[in-house]
Amino acid sequence: MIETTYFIWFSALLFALGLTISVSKKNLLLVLVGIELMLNAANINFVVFSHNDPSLNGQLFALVVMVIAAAEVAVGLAIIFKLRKWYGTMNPDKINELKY
Amino acid sequence: MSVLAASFILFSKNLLYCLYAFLVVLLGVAGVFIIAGADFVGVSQLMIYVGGVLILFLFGIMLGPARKNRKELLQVRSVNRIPALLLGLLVFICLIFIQQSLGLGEPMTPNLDQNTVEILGMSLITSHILVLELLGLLLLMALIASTFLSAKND
Repeated sequence: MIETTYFIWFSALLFALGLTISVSKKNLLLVLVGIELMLNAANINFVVFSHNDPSLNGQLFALVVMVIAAAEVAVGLAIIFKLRKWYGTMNPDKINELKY
Repeated sequence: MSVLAASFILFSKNLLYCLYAFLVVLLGVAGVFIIAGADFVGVSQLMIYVGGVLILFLFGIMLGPARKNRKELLQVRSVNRIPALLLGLLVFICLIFIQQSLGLGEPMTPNLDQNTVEILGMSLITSHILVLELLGLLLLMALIASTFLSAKND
């Protein structure tokens, strides 16, 4: 059977890549994608550590995280598309006025 | 494969290619869930992320308003590449170091006779029912909020 270490390395790498993406990209959609990657990395850790747990609390928590991520993406995308319609750009550096 | 696709997201210039690479990453993570023995979580990952979130992203882009600067909207610029890469590398090294210092290297024992769907369902409707109710409430709130935000009320 596969050791836990490989799963943890994979999730650490995914987390670091997600953090790098969401920090360095100048597009609000890709910032959301980076956040999703980080949540997925956390989910992998939950699932892996709940593997030897008979009550499967980790998998339950992974499901909760997934649902919360879906809700966050729905609201975030609505806000982002509203901003795109209003400002005509998705660059967070150009969105610098609060009120017209 | 998943890691390759994730680094492709990091270095790509086109938004649509980034989203297709994100699809590959999500499929890889679902495969990892199933390998780790969590069948139900893997299938829900497929349904929620690949079927819901990614379709939302793609249709949001494709059905967006057609403008003159549509090419410019699909372009992705990235700034501060070197500091961001250093930050990511630092986080990766820290996580690996923590993992080494905790000594979590035990091999996983295969328990294939476990019925994860039954256990998860029973615990969701008996001992963790508050979680289920709160998640339903949260999803309802998100639905109302996103509908209100995307309505033409300005």
